[in-house]
Amino acid sequence: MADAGVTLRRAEARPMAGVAAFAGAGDVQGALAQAFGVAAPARPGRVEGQGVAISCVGAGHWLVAGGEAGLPARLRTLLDGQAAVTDQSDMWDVTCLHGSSVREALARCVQVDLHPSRFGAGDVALTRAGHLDVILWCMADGAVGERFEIAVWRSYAGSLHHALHAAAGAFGVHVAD
Amino acid sequence: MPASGAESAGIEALWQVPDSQGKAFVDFQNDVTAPDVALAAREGFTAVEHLKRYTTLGMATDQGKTSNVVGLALMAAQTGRSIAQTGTTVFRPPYTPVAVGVFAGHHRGRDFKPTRLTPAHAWAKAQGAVFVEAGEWMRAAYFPQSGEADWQTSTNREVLTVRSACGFCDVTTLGKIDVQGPDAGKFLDFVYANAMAGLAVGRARYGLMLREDGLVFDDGTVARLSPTHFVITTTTANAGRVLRHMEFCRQVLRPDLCVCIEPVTDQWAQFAVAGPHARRVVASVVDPGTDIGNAAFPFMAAAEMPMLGGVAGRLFRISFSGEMAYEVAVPARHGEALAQALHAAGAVPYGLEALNVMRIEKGHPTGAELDGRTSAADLGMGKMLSTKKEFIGRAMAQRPALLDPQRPQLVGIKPVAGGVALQAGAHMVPLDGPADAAHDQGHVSSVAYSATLGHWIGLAFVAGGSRRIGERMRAVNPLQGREAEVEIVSKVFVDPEGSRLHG
Repeated sequence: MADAGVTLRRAEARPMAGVAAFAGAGDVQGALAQAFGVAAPARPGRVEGQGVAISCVGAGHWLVAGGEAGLPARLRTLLDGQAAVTDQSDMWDVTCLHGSSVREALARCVQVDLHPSRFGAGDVALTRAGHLDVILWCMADGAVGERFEIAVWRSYAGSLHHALHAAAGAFGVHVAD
Repeated sequence: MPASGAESAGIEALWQVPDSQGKAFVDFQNDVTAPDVALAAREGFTAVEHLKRYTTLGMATDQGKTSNVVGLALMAAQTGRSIAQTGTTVFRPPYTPVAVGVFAGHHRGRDFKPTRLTPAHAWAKAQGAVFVEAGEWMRAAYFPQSGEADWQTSTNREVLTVRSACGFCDVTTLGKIDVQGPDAGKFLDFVYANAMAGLAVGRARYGLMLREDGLVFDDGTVARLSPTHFVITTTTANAGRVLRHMEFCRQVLRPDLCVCIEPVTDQWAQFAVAGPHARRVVASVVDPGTDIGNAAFPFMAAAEMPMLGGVAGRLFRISFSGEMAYEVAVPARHGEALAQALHAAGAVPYGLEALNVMRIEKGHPTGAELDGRTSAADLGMGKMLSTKKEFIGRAMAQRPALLDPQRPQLVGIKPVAGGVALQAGAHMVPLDGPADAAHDQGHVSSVAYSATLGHWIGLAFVAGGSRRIGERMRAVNPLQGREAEVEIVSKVFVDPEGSRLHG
């Protein structure tokens, strides 16, 4: 659909794991850096390394996504005694968004400042959208221009999609496969 | 076209009618008058922001849009300045009228209160389930079959099926919190009233949480998967509150403990499978090679195990219905497949109504009993409060008023005459005498028609009730002018020995 201002696509399921560092027990960031060749951010942000994305989603708290199905088990071994690892592969419903009006549409639903100078590629926000707790990522630009991803607990997926459609409706919405 | 003279351009502002004897209002919303502005000037409040705060000029709902210009003009006249020199106060938005609906935006109806669906929602819908709202969740209330005229008929069938064969119920909505760390046991000892640190790996236990004030907060189960890994459940309604409470305990009250907690409710689809045939049904979804028999997997066992052909699931031998029962959990994407497999193995889906009937038959409390006013002793769980450890609510639970043996205590009630229906919310009064507040001795918290027993049963809080078994009272509902004579009985109506649990 050529004139759609916003394109929505439900992301395919991917392995996801929560990593919560035990206070004063080892060096989780160091261990992640060694395993994935990239420094896990200490503040809200997203980096990619060796097929996984590591997002800081709280103090000493990371969400690792991507890679092979055994990701949670691999992290459990890697971080044994240093962090609590939880399998969250089935917990999140992730929607990808892009389009010429994507920032304007998202601004109607989330409460953070989406000006490109404040929220650019690699930024992460834990915020609210349509009365739901969500994680919002600004991804690196792709062939389609600016890209965002938004994650919500699986049971809320229908409500979030409804809110996204309502927010983006005025710009024209295209739902991609 | 008629010509007009030039005099129309000769107008000038008239801010105040000279020599008027009446009150000269400037701000009609806040009753600020011209003399008020003059007084402000005399008192030295000549700056516009001072004028505003001294007189309340422009502070009403119109934010000065009907009054400020006049007030500023009068102050200008008082101080020999122009209006422009006098200045204006800082405006706050909205600068122009805005329809209230704009503020609401899309946040209305279903967008104001989100809806949560379980992974097997579509399957339940296809089975014809009638849903009921449980907080944000939609839960199946009952599954009407052809020929069933009303919910009671369907519920009765579901209850009798569980008690005589096997049923399964979607319990995904229960809050699930993952608790990990070397001090996880100590932390749970702190937040639960009963002991948790000594729970063996591979075992589960009922857990009771108190609030700081000593009253009951929430209940659920605690399962230990490894020495440093527990999974707890909360009631559906309190899932968020319990997580918040535990996070507060972790960060603020016990930062000395090495423990992390994580909400994982949405990661799992979980079903209760209950009834005399539950083991055969569960065995059909668990991968071959896992023994779930009584010896290997007894009542209150808990373990991670493969099911549905290699899916990493969890199995808990816990029961809310009083029957031999399991709770089976799989990662959410497999939730629908698990429902289909349980159904194919002969288990009949049952809903919230049947679940509620069976928990009343067993005297288990839910939200109607854990209403924020009840102590553990009121619920007959006073002995669960550990005397060997410190925990939240321990000190305040020992206050004399909470130990009063005359407090309303949870008991069972049944109508003396067969066929009489009971009503929740009815008040308990003695057989003789008036039914008024002075003679009120408690209330009925939950009622159900017990298909198992063939009559109505109820749970009630009755003053000193645990010592009044066998006594007769009246359950009175003055709002509807109805009352029933009831007998106080044990709150465990079905299988008080608990022998069915062990299958």
